Amino acid sequence: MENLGSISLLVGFCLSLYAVAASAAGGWKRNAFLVESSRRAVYAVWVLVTAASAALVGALLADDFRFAYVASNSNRSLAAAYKFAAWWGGQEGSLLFWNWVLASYAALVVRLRRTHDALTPWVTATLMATQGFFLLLNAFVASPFRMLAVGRGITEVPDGTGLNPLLQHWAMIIHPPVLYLGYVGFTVPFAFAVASLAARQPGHEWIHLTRRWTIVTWLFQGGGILLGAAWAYAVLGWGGYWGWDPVENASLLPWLTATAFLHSVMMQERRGMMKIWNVVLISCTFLLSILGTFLTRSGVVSSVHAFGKSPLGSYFVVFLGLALAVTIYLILSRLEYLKPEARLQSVVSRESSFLLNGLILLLVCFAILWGTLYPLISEVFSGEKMTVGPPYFNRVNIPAGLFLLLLTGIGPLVAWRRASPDSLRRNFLWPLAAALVLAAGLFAAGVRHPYALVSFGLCLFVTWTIGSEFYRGARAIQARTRQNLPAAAVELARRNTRRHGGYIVHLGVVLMFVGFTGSAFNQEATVELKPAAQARLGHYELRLASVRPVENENYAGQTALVEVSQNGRPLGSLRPERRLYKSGGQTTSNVAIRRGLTEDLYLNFAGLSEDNQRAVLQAYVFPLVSWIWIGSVVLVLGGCICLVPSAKPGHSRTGSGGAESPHPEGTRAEARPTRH
Amino acid sequence: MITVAAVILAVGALVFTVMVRAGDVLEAEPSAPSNPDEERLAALEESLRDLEFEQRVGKLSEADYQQTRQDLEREMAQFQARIGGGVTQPAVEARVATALVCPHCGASFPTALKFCGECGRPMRRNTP
Amino acid sequence: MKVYWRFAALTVVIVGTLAWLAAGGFNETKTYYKTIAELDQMGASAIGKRLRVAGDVEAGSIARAGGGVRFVLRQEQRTLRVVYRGTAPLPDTFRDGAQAIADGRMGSDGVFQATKIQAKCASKYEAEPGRPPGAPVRRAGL
Repeated sequence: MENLGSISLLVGFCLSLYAVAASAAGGWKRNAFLVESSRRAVYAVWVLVTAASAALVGALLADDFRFAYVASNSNRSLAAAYKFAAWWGGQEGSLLFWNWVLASYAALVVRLRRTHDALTPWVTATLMATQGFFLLLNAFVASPFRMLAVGRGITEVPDGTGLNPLLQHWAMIIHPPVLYLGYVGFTVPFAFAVASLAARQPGHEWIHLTRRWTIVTWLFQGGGILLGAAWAYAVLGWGGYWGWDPVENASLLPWLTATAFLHSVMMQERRGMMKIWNVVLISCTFLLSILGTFLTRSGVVSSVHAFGKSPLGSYFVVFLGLALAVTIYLILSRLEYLKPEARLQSVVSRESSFLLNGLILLLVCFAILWGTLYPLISEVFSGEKMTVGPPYFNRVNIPAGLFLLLLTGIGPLVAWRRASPDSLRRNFLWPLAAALVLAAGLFAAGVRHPYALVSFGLCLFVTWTIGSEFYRGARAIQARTRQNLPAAAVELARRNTRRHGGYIVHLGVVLMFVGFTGSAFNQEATVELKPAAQARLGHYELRLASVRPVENENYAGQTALVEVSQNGRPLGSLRPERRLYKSGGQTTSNVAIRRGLTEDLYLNFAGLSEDNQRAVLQAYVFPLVSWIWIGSVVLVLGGCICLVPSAKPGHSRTGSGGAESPHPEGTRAEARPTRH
Repeated sequence: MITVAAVILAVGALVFTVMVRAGDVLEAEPSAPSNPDEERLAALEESLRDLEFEQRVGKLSEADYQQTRQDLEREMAQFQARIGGGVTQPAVEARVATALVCPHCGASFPTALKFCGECGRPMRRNTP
Repeated sequence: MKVYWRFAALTVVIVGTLAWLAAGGFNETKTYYKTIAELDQMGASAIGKRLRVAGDVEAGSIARAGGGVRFVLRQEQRTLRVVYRGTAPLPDTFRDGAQAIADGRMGSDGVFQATKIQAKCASKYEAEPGRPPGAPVRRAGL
């Protein structure tokens, strides 16, 4: 088993280096044989990495504890799903998983581009260069196939240490794969950008080819981040879903630049502007995703001790440096191909709002990066190691986030090139008025927190603008087709899925902001209750009915049975638990949550008091928090709508042409421009 | 046993990669994948359609609509001149340079001439 | 050209505002990493500063007393008494022998007043356990 894994990784590494050389040489000299050979190498690497992965997964499922990795990440009593998930549970295995996802993406890209063109050799070269680096790590530095060697020869342990019980949760099975599909996926659009520069192309081709890739990757990354937040909320015991932890920040950074990229791409397609900006953004996205995995693996910032505790750190730094140097060289030497075709004509225009959007996202990204790396920076420059906490991140990101929310309302409605005060009045008078009325109403009702007022007002503003877009567009279609309004709205969306899918994504973001703002009104109480005693929090009464022991083969613990009522009306019961896991001796508290649209009631059983007479309960009320999860689902749905090809003009049921509909994006490559 | 299988797999991968025959090489792509000028024209046409729709729906003031429409039509005309009619600008320049087309009145002749048969002016550019 | 100047002015305003906010947040939450040895060396100058100290929880030292939790951190033969009075629950990984990080201020009585506790599970095979990316170190406090 171990030989299958090691040999496959070694040969895979060699082949990926060959692929880089062959595709680069083939692209340069236009040698079709070399290019074809490099394509085959991509397929071969995929087969080998899959074989190595199968070897590892097989060892995990078979409880083969001769492997150091299996022994430290699995144990006999673990459910099969968690044994499989242990593939990405530890350092070496998750590197192998990264390699497998990258090889799969590369094979898919090569399979889909079956013509001999100028871009493909360079795309292959870039993908395989990245693959080569990660295979280097897996083959030589962090091998998952290392055997336990106690004394002489290979031995095994009777059972492994298993998976941390906090991670034995369905969200933790799918969170890493989804996140990796995002992280690794950013390599693909980056490879196309590099290829476009290397091949001296004017730049519209790679944008067009990578549009769907980037949306899919962005969706996976966002989904992975949100799954992690959902897990943290349900499992960690204090209802927090985001802590500005370095590893969390690392996953957010490439997502931010990718969001900026997805928007500014439209500027290049429509007006030929922001070409340099787009190449820089996608390069930053790739480099940040590599930086992200470096920060997570090397222990550089979460550890309080010396720099680079893991040997992986230095390899990443070298790779990042090389990638940065190559990217900068390519951009600077191809500047003549990236000249903008149009200029900004007015500060009040859609171009301007796109530019501001990109600017703010980059600034937020930089601020988070600075705060995350500060321990390193401060140590290098001042000798003192310092850190900054959530208040710093929140102070910068809350106002920036609110400004971005404002832009999502303004951008879709303000016109390209110029928007006069009259146009602004037509579009924004009513939404703005509604927002102000809401804010005034909330203020009168007792809400004084300024950010909360602004946030709720903006949420209504943006929702109103999105609603007016759908409404006005549907009415225009209804005038021609006589459909009912909902059907007309669906037809409207079908004709331009990208725009209307984007509107749904924005709506999801608005709902999430509603959820975030609710945290300004959180309530909590810590109480010690004897059985049959009662406590109050908000408008809930909490009565401790009993504390009962619970035990099975994995853990032993206690369950607190708490009856919940509201103003006397019984609402049911919650059963928070406290467990001690037998293997590993880990204690966990399993919270009980009563979820609702207006608020969540969250109970944590913190144990017994000193005299063992009373149960210590931590109770929280989190208003509006469910809207974060609802908004996440809406966001993903909107993203999926963006991926659906728009209905072509003239093929809709109305049979009429483009004059009354927003022109669908469709398949640009096939559409021939019509002559007037 | 598994080791043997691993070695066979590795050798197979290497052979597959290196043994490329002439028949395996893919077809070359047609030489002009997409003309940037045609792309820009298509983008401008799409912008014009969007402009019409936004005007119908009531998002634009009349002044903005007119001004942007003029901008778009002007730019479209520029690109059309570069592409349209089957004769591109570079081809026209080439024919003027070889004295087959008069640079002043535009008349064209089958052979190179010193003076234009239509307007009488010299066929060389830069002379009145 | 006038458009670009106006846009540049808008950009400067936005960047300036965010930078001002960032600087304020920075100074408010700047925390110095110190080892227990360095803390001892600082002596009286450590009192009142916002600090972060790491160490291993000494076995048997955890005691809940009067609204707080007392324990002892040990690092390289040196120890530090800590009391945590935060409202958030202690992380589940916080127990005897765990690697812990305490954020807070040094009290004049030599006991470290912690407002935030993070704890990591000790691993058997490596000093730096390979956690899956995204699995946070458990923390308590705000």
